[in-house]
Amino acid sequence: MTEVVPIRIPKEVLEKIELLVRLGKYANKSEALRTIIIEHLEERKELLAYEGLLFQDKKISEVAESLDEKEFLELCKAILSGRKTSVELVEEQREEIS
Amino acid sequence: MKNVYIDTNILIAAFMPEDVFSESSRKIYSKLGVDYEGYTSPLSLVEIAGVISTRLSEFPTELMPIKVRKKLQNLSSDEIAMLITYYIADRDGLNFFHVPSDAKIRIKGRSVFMPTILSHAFTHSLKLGLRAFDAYHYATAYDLVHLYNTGVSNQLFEGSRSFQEMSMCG
Repeated sequence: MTEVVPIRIPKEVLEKIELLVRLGKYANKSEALRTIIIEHLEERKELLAYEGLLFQDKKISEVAESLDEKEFLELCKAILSGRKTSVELVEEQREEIS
Repeated sequence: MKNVYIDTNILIAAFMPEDVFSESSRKIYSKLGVDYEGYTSPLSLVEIAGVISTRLSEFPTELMPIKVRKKLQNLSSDEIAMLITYYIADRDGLNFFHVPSDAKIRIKGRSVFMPTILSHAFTHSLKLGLRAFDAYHYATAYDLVHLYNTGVSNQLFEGSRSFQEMSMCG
């Protein structure tokens, strides 16, 4: 299924697309643009790889706003408290991967 | 204003009242944006996330303050980790420094592409025998000073001050 999307593109880009069509690389301008967009999305997979983070960001911001400074401090203190020092906690991260 | 490079353990020690670095860490935090301009690597974000995520996996949620637990009830464990990581890292006067370019290392005619800071970390690692993460932090602090002196600073530091006096924390 396809949809028609009107787009504005710079004249010099359009001239390059038309040249590619004249050279026989693509059947017409529509096919050229479609192929280039599809190839770009394929090459730049990272653009969509972490899209979930964007939605998470909004959700987390809302919760963050509901917490005051004191609650944040209590939360951090509760989670970080234990036998290990700050140096040891960070060291664990570096040891595991280095 | 003094420029300081802050290592990850100092960033988290401020939230660990029992920790040996807690007091000095809180002192640094309170001076950020006032007496100190703080710099660290984006790698610190990953390390904080790792610490918080590890602690959360070992932490019984019943021990969380009830009021806080209620507010977090719709968040998954990784979302809570993200929330806390952002809270720790989001400080006025704390900047995450990164050289926004890639570098190429030639290995027997083969090109290996990587972030510029990583290639500098590679060099420091060869010279000083540093571990990967230490080398990455070292390269970040080194570049803050070195690049400033080469005049690249206007592009990279956007209004930051002299790094001549920069010191290391952590």
